[in-house]
Amino acid sequence: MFWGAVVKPNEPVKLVDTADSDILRLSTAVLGTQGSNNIDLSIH
Amino acid sequence: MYAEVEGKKHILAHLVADRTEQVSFDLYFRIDQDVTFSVQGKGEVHLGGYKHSLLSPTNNNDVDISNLKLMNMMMKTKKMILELLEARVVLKMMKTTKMKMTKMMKMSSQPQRTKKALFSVKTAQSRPNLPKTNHNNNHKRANQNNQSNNNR
Repeated sequence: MFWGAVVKPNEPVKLVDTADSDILRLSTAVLGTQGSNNIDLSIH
Repeated sequence: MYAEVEGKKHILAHLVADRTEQVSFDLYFRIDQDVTFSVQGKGEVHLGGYKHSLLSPTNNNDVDISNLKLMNMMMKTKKMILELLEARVVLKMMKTTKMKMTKMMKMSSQPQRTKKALFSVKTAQSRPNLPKTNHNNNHKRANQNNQSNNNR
Protein backbone atom coordinates (compact mmCIF):
# COMPACT_ATOMS: atom_id res chain seq x y z
CA MET A 1 0.00 0.00 0.00
CA PHE A 2 1.27 3.47 -0.87
CA TRP A 3 2.69 5.72 1.80
CA GLY A 4 3.40 9.43 1.43
CA ALA A 5 4.46 12.33 3.61
CA VAL A 6 5.47 15.94 3.11
CA VAL A 7 8.40 17.15 5.16
CA LYS A 8 8.59 20.93 5.49
CA PRO A 9 11.56 22.91 6.80
CA ASN A 10 11.64 23.05 10.58
CA GLU A 11 8.69 20.65 10.71
CA PRO A 12 10.05 17.13 11.23
CA VAL A 13 7.69 14.28 10.48
CA LYS A 14 7.47 11.28 12.75
CA LEU A 15 6.98 8.00 11.01
CA VAL A 16 4.53 6.80 13.64
CA ASP A 17 2.22 9.72 12.88
CA THR A 18 2.07 8.95 9.18
CA ALA A 19 1.88 5.18 8.97
CA ASP A 20 -0.17 2.62 10.82
CA SER A 21 1.65 -0.46 9.56
CA ASP A 22 4.66 -2.35 10.91
CA ILE A 23 7.22 -1.58 8.21
CA LEU A 24 7.74 1.32 5.87
CA ARG A 25 9.65 1.11 2.62
CA LEU A 26 10.92 4.51 1.55
CA SER A 27 11.19 4.75 -2.23
CA THR A 28 11.38 8.34 -3.35
CA ALA A 29 12.14 11.83 -2.12
CA VAL A 30 11.19 14.69 -4.37
CA LEU A 31 12.03 18.30 -3.81
CA GLY A 32 8.91 20.37 -3.98
CA THR A 33 8.49 24.10 -4.14
CA GLN A 34 5.57 26.00 -2.88
CA GLY A 35 3.26 26.43 -5.85
CA SER A 36 5.69 27.39 -8.57
CA ASN A 37 6.11 24.13 -10.38
CA ASN A 38 3.44 21.83 -9.11
CA ILE A 39 2.78 18.89 -11.34
CA ASP A 40 -0.77 17.91 -11.97
CA LEU A 41 -1.04 14.17 -11.69
CA SER A 42 -4.14 12.92 -13.36
CA ILE A 43 -5.34 9.81 -15.05
CA HIS A 44 -6.67 10.19 -18.57
CA MET B 1 17.00 15.47 3.92
CA TYR B 2 17.61 13.52 7.14
CA ALA B 3 16.24 10.50 8.90
CA GLU B 4 16.70 10.31 12.64
CA VAL B 5 16.49 6.69 13.75
CA GLU B 6 16.53 5.98 17.48
CA GLY B 7 18.39 9.19 18.24
CA LYS B 8 20.94 8.94 15.43
CA LYS B 9 20.64 11.37 12.57
CA HIS B 10 21.45 10.12 9.06
CA ILE B 11 21.64 12.06 5.82
CA LEU B 12 19.40 10.40 3.26
CA ALA B 13 19.74 12.76 0.32
CA HIS B 14 21.06 16.12 -0.80
CA LEU B 15 18.40 17.64 -3.00
CA VAL B 16 19.17 20.77 -5.02
CA ALA B 17 16.62 22.78 -6.96
CA ASP B 18 16.97 22.52 -10.77
CA ARG B 19 19.76 19.97 -10.38
CA THR B 20 18.83 16.99 -8.21
CA GLU B 21 15.18 17.24 -7.47
CA GLN B 22 14.46 13.57 -6.98
CA VAL B 23 16.23 10.59 -5.51
CA SER B 24 15.24 6.95 -5.25
CA PHE B 25 15.60 4.75 -2.21
CA ASP B 26 14.96 1.24 -1.12
CA LEU B 27 15.05 1.73 2.62
CA TYR B 28 13.02 -0.13 5.20
CA PHE B 29 12.02 1.36 8.54
CA ARG B 30 10.24 -0.32 11.37
CA ILE B 31 7.50 1.75 12.92
CA ASP B 32 8.72 1.03 16.46
CA GLN B 33 12.20 2.34 15.60
CA ASP B 34 11.25 5.95 16.44
CA VAL B 35 11.98 7.41 13.00
CA THR B 36 11.75 11.12 12.22
CA PHE B 37 12.25 12.67 8.80
CA SER B 38 13.45 16.25 8.61
CA VAL B 39 14.62 18.76 6.02
CA GLN B 40 17.28 21.43 6.17
CA GLY B 41 16.85 24.32 3.76
CA LYS B 42 14.01 26.23 2.16
CA GLY B 43 12.22 23.62 0.10
CA GLU B 44 9.82 20.99 1.26
CA VAL B 45 10.36 17.34 0.40
CA HIS B 46 7.70 14.89 -0.67
CA LEU B 47 8.37 11.34 0.42
CA GLY B 48 6.80 8.32 -1.14
CA GLY B 49 6.94 4.61 -0.52
CA TYR B 50 5.03 1.58 0.64
CA LYS B 51 3.77 0.41 3.96
CA HIS B 52 3.77 -3.21 4.90
CA SER B 53 2.01 -5.09 7.61
CA LEU B 54 3.58 -8.16 9.13
CA LEU B 55 0.18 -9.54 9.94
CA SER B 56 -0.95 -9.70 6.32
CA PRO B 57 2.00 -10.86 4.23
CA THR B 58 -0.28 -11.98 1.43
CA ASN B 59 -1.02 -8.34 0.61
CA ASN B 60 2.65 -7.64 -0.06
CA ASN B 61 3.33 -9.90 -3.00
CA ASP B 62 6.08 -7.73 -4.41
CA VAL B 63 8.26 -7.87 -1.31
CA ASP B 64 9.65 -10.87 0.50
CA ILE B 65 9.15 -9.83 4.07
CA SER B 66 9.99 -13.16 5.67
CA ASN B 67 13.37 -11.83 6.76
CA LEU B 68 11.80 -8.67 8.13
CA LYS B 69 9.26 -10.73 10.01
CA LEU B 70 12.03 -12.87 11.42
CA MET B 71 14.02 -9.75 12.39
CA ASN B 72 11.00 -8.26 14.11
CA MET B 73 10.44 -11.48 16.04
CA MET B 74 14.11 -11.53 17.04
CA MET B 75 13.90 -7.95 18.28
CA LYS B 76 10.81 -8.76 20.31
CA THR B 77 12.52 -11.86 21.75
CA LYS B 78 15.58 -9.77 22.64
CA LYS B 79 13.36 -7.26 24.42
CA MET B 80 11.64 -10.06 26.32
CA ILE B 81 14.99 -11.55 27.37
CA LEU B 82 16.19 -8.17 28.59
CA GLU B 83 12.97 -7.69 30.55
CA LEU B 84 13.36 -11.16 32.07
CA LEU B 85 16.95 -10.41 33.07
CA GLU B 86 15.83 -7.16 34.66
CA ALA B 87 13.08 -8.98 36.52
CA ARG B 88 15.61 -11.55 37.72
CA VAL B 89 17.88 -8.83 39.09
CA VAL B 90 14.95 -7.16 40.83
CA LEU B 91 13.90 -10.52 42.29
CA LYS B 92 17.41 -11.10 43.61
CA MET B 93 17.43 -7.65 45.21
CA MET B 94 14.05 -8.34 46.76
CA LYS B 95 15.30 -11.65 48.17
CA THR B 96 18.34 -10.04 49.76
CA THR B 97 16.18 -7.27 51.20
CA LYS B 98 13.81 -9.88 52.59
CA MET B 99 16.69 -11.76 54.18
CA LYS B 100 17.98 -8.56 55.75
CA MET B 101 14.51 -7.71 57.01
CA THR B 102 14.01 -11.14 58.58
CA LYS B 103 17.42 -10.86 60.21
CA MET B 104 16.52 -7.48 61.61
CA MET B 105 13.15 -8.77 62.77
CA LYS B 106 14.86 -11.63 64.58
CA MET B 107 17.23 -9.22 66.21
CA SER B 108 14.40 -6.96 67.30
CA SER B 109 12.32 -9.90 68.61
CA GLN B 110 15.03 -10.79 71.22
CA PRO B 111 15.97 -7.38 72.54
CA GLN B 112 15.85 -8.04 76.30
CA ARG B 113 17.82 -11.25 76.19
CA THR B 114 20.48 -9.67 74.07
CA LYS B 115 20.53 -6.53 76.15
CA LYS B 116 20.82 -8.55 79.32
CA ALA B 117 23.64 -10.58 77.87
CA LEU B 118 25.37 -7.47 76.68
CA PHE B 119 24.84 -5.80 80.04
CA SER B 120 26.32 -8.75 81.89
CA VAL B 121 29.29 -8.81 79.57
CA LYS B 122 29.76 -5.09 79.96
CA THR B 123 29.50 -5.19 83.74
CA ALA B 124 31.89 -8.09 83.86
CA GLN B 125 34.31 -6.19 81.72
CA SER B 126 33.83 -2.95 83.63
CA ARG B 127 34.66 -4.56 86.96
CA PRO B 128 38.12 -3.41 87.79
CA ASN B 129 40.37 -6.37 88.44
CA LEU B 130 43.46 -4.30 88.64
CA PRO B 131 42.83 -2.65 92.03
CA LYS B 132 42.07 -6.04 93.52
CA THR B 133 45.25 -7.56 92.19
CA ASN B 134 47.17 -4.43 92.99
CA HIS B 135 45.76 -4.54 96.43
CA ASN B 136 46.88 -8.12 96.83
CA ASN B 137 50.22 -7.30 95.37
CA ASN B 138 50.57 -4.36 97.71
CA HIS B 139 49.81 -6.62 100.62
CA LYS B 140 52.32 -9.15 99.37
CA ARG B 141 54.92 -6.47 98.88
CA ALA B 142 54.23 -5.06 102.33
CA ASN B 143 54.57 -8.49 103.86
CA GLN B 144 57.80 -9.08 102.00
CA ASN B 145 59.13 -5.71 103.16
CA ASN B 146 58.15 -6.49 106.72
CA GLN B 147 59.83 -9.88 106.56
CA SER B 148 62.98 -8.39 105.11
CA ASN B 149 62.99 -5.72 107.81
CA ASN B 150 62.51 -8.35 110.49
CA ASN B 151 65.33 -10.39 109.03
CA ARG B 152 67.59 -7.38 109.18
